[in-house]
Amino acid sequence: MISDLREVRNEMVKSLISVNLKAIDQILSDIERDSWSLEDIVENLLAPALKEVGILWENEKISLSQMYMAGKICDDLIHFRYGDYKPDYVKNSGKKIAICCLEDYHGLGKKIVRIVVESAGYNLIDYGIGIIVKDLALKIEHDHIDIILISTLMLSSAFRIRDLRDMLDRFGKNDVIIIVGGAPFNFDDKLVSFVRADYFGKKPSDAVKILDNILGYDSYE
Amino acid sequence: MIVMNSMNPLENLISTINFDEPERIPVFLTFTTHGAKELHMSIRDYFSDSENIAKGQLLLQEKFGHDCLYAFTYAALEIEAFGGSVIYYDDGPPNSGAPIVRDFSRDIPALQPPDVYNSPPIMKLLNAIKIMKEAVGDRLPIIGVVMAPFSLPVMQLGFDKYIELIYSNNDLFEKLMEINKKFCIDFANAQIEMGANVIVYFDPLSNITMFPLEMLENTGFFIARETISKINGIVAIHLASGIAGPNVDNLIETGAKIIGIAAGDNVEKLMDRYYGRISFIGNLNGIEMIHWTEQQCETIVRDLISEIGHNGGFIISDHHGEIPYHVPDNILLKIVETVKKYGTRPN
Repeated sequence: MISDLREVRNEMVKSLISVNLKAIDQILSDIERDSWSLEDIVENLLAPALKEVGILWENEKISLSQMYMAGKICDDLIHFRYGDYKPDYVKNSGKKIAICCLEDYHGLGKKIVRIVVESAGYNLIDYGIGIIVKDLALKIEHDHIDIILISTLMLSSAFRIRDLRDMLDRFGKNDVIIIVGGAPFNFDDKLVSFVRADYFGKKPSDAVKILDNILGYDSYE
Repeated sequence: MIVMNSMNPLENLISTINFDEPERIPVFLTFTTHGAKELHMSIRDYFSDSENIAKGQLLLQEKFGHDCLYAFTYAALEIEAFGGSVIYYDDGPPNSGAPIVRDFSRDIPALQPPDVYNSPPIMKLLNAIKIMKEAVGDRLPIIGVVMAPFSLPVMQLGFDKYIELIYSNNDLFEKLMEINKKFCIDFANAQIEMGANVIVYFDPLSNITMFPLEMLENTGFFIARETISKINGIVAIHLASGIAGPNVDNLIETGAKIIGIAAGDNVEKLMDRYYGRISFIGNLNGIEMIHWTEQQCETIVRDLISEIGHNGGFIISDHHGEIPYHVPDNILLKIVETVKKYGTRPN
């Protein structure tokens, strides 16, 4: 089973990065016929395969579009073909974690981070794209969010994070942890502290590592 | 103030990109929203009127002494032309609103390329170029901008949906490219008709970090070649702060005369490898500029000049194609001052 698993995982990674839906379907049909459990398919095949694809992307071996499509395919499989699979989300440790794209409709980065973080075992509340500061602050307060992941593409949107922090302080929610990511932060390492965020993730796996660190798990490797 | 010893900035630019002993390294400050500051108005009001846009550029050039007028307002102008919405900010460029294509098979066949001479947002920009040209004639280059057909759908569909379209429906993708190519060519040539000397073809998606090379050879690079061949003037292809290095050979094949490079690109290596074949523009980090000291600024610009040399082939500018609103005036003045001091060709 272990050597089969490794071989199947390698095939799955190859098929994901070439966006070969037919090959992916064949792999899954074969293992379903071999009576693999839902848990094995999701946790031992799809999640690790996606993690491997993420590593390839972060090492610049594949392109952004391949990373995105691999994530989308896995996400769709987990939610639809294997929708009966219900993860425990014990990794949240009772903390409520949300994600959004602030004042911006460029949601690709947020989508990739959500998929990677969820495949690493976290449950996220998705506030979507284009949400404005006031609405986000109200949602955070209403939903008792402990950690918010914010993606921005535009510098002007990144500056709004400071406004969010100010508003959360006024609501008495100064213990909310803000994790940021997106292009503006990649070009200026002083921007994170300027907008009063707590952490910055350059890559989707950084978001997982940061959450693991905050919640006391072993490092995501 | 336009001061050079023997060449004007337009002549100097042409010498630069022809590797023909320019008098000085050109420096382009790619102002957009700074015009609003100069005219003491909101960004929304500033961009609402051709006269404002032209006046802003002329005042900025007079104040900072750089070598161009930049006829670019905001990328989402093209989405407005397609009937989409724009979101305005107090301190940054306008952004595109919700995507105009929600259902691929319904909305893409129904899309029409805007008629540039009958589109109010496009005419606003074209008239601004006309006013600029009347003011500066052939002394100062006017730089126009278009979004590449291959990159515009990031705003038309949303980046995630666009990637899905490319991988799932080639017919609709090709249809979208036909529409976008027609608009891009018409818009570029209209800007040239009005007086633009160079067209910047913004194409951040034509980058091997975005799509595999084999895919780009049939899409982004191919479309760029086809489109640029129909633009009646000098074209610079720009990846909007994307690393250009691994893409340069393919970008040269597009027919562009200038390539925009990023802060992360190695200028010395690029000049060494490609001098004489293609010119570059870049590669100052506009976001970092916000908190540079004047001393840091001078050091960074001097270092860049030493990597460029004085034999043409490079225009100093920011690496994204737009100076952020928050970059202070003293830093921008220092950039130009340093280029003029150290970037002049020795006799």
